[in-house]
Amino acid sequence: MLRLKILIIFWGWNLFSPDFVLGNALALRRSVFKITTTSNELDFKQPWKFHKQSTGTGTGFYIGNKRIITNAHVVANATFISVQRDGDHRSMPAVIEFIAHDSDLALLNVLDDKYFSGVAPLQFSGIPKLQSPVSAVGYPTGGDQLSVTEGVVSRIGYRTYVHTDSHDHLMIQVSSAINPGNSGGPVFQGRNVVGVAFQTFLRAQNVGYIIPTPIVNRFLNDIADGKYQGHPVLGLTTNRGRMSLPASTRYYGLSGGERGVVVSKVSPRSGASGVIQPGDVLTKISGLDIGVDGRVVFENERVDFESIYDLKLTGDQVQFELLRDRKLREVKVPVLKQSPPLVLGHTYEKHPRYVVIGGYVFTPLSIDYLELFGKDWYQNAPLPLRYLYLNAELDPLFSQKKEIIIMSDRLSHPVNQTIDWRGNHSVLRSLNGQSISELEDLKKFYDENQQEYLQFEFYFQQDALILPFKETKKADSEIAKKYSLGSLFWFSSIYPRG
Amino acid sequence: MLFILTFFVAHSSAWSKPKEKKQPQVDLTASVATLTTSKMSADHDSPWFITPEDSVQGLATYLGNNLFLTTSSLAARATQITLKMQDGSPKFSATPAHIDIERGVAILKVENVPLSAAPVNLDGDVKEGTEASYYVRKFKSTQITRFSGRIFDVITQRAPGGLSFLPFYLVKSQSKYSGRGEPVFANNQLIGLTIGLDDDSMMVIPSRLIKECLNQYQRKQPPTISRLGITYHGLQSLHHRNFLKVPPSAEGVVVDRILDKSVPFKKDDVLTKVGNYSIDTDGNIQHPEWGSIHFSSFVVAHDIQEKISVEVFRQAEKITFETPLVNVDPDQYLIPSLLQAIEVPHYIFAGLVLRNLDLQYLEGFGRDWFKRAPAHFLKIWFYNNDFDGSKKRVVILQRVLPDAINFGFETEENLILNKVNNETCDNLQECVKLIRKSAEDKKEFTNLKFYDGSEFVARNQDAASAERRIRKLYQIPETAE
Repeated sequence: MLRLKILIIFWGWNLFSPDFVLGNALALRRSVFKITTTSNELDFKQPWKFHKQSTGTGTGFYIGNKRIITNAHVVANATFISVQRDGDHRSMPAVIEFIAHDSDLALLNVLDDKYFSGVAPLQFSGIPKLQSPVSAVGYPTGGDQLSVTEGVVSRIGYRTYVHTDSHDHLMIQVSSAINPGNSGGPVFQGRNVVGVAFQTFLRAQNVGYIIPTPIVNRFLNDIADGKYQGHPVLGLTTNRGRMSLPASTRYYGLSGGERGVVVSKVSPRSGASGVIQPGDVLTKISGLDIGVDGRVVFENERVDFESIYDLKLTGDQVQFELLRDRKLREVKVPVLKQSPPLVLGHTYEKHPRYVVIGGYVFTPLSIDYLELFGKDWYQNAPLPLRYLYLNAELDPLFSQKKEIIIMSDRLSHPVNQTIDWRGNHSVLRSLNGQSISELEDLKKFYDENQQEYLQFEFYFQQDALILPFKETKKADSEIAKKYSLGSLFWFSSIYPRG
Repeated sequence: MLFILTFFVAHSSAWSKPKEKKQPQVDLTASVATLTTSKMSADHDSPWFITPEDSVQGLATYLGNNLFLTTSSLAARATQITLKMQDGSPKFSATPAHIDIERGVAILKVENVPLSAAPVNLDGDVKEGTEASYYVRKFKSTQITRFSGRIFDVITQRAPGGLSFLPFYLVKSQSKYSGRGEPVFANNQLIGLTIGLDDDSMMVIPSRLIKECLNQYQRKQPPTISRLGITYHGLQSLHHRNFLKVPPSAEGVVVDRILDKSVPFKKDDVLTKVGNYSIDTDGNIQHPEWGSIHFSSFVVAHDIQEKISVEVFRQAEKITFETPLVNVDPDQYLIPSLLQAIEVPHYIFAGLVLRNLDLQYLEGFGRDWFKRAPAHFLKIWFYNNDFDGSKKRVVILQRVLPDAINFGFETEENLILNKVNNETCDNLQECVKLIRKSAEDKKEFTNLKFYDGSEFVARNQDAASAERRIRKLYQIPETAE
């Protein structure tokens, strides 16, 4: 599996660049900050715990209104953040004002209001043209000085942001060497920022990625009302290239040339559910023609049509032209607030959701959980979990659920000591015959139980877990005390729920 | 892990007592022949091709009546089998008379050859620790060498055919060339046949199961596997016992699925005894010869026509009843094993190579195929590979032979085919029938729908011309299909 690795930005301030006269360069570099964090990573097996504390560095830059923008992954899970302006010997504590894990962006505030006096906000421009030069600025590992590297724009695409590993957005590939510590720094074209450096591709040289300004602007617009809603998920799977052939256009009833993509699946959790159907041929989005490759022309570049929907804000509507039953029609897809994917991507800040019953720990399946099986988890994780990661949305047994619940651990107690613990990461199906769609169901059914025994049933195995209800209830408080659990359940999520 | 209660019938004589008295060692070399087989094998990557293999060598043991015993891996897909006795007589040909892929055993028949060798006797069961001797073919030679060894363990292991669990003796091998039909003797009786080598341990299938093969051959039955027709899991805890209302001291396994309506088990029965043997919570019994071994090893030693006495707890009540055995043909599994097949059934439509999913295709993903094969295939193999006699199969798009007709679809592979022209098809034959019907009915298009929602459309008129083009480009024989 190809893996993009996070880390980033470039350095090497070229004072001789024709775009930078000395005065401007000095003014711009005062707007770039080194960010140092202390963080505690979350524990996905025993979700109430933290892993050991660690420190890291990244880059950020001033955008005005007492805000520094950086990558979410620079400050994710941070318990303490400090920023240091280039050329200033002082560090200043900072706090997160907004964080958007889905687009890997964060805004920081510095506690001292006067810290930004004399600091000019950097200005954004649009998507740079292919092959145009860019300069990336930041604080890579290995030194305290600001550095700059130069390269050109080599590709504009719609790809996965690895910070969560579950969100695709526009990104720009640049041909510059990338080093750890550069993350969150500005990428300039002339005096304007054209993106935020954020990830690299470890298997290739001179491949770095920056977050383009439409994504940054969307983030800033999203938080304008004081809360971050997140990018919408269109939730469509399409077959691309099928319209390349006259036979296909004829089959689907598309006259007047090849274009469009065939919808093969619509996620029940998306705004498109109930509006777009499998078998529809999408021909236009927001008035833009969708090619047989699924791309539209956006800011003079061909980008995946999903990019257009992705940039919308909650409450917007996006117009599609589609062909259904051989007739062209127009539909409006509402932009809904983001709902969590069935198998969660990487999550931060908040402990993974969990419920502990009788010492058994139940938590949602996530990429973080799968990574407990090592970097080759896609081969070494238990088959049911690998299967669900790839196929849960396709499997009718799971596709209507809100999340996949795993029994991740057992905390020993007399109530569970006679039960063989195989550590088999069982996938929970039901409690006393009541199907579990999300973690809250488990807690609810447990609290409302009237049966003498609790019978937990699982997918992919026939044997149920049996616990005596009264003894288990009594054991719960003892287990919470013995294992220092602040709570026997935790439902908070970085995703809006409900 | 679920163990499907399988078992093969064989002998009503249940467990025979071991021979207490050690017999003087007799040289049985004269009853063992070297075997050379020329084989063909299926090409699972390009199923329209057949791959000739190098000749394979092993051993065969004379059973009398012009019958020899060897392994199924040597006999399956053989185009020619040659035997040579150790008495200096000329080589002679043999033909497979009965190939039992699941047990790993084959019976060869020899016609019109005068054989002076004495047939070996098949013994009953022997104990762990029994001193044994075995014969191994010398490397690149028609001579054989006798080694001494000891049965150091008796285990229940997945059968060579991969679909059930059988008992095996383990014997340390002193030759890296073993594992190909070497007979194993104790007290001058044939106690088993080596069907494979695992590191330096020979996997020896006991004579009891070989006898059943012989019985089936003599009764002109196809090789079959019989079972209790249930799946089960261990009785895991005190809570579990209380929940099922069985005594705290009860041991056994809990029936969780009934695979055949003819058996009198019920879900949540706690199976505590088979025959006279108590089952522990791991499913093991104390066998008089084999020691602690899984109870399925007891079951496989019974004939399909027999009934087995079992004891269960049902609704807090201990009851005893006799249960018939269920006969299951390996071919009835959703994902069958095609070990014996030279030709892989497949169909090429508009460059899309369609076939049924089988074990050998999965094994084509490499030594660790159970990790590397696509998860949606492995999930069926490990969790849904049921048998119900319906001959249902998983029809897959193996790969696409790129051509103008499938442009835009050419990179697809390993998809499960669900529907043809919106009609469900459960095996390759049915799917092909629907594809052909589409052209016969003069429909303009054929539409294939796959499990992930993707679909492929071809004009039938174009498909006919594309077929000729694709066959020529990829050198696919006209007859291959």
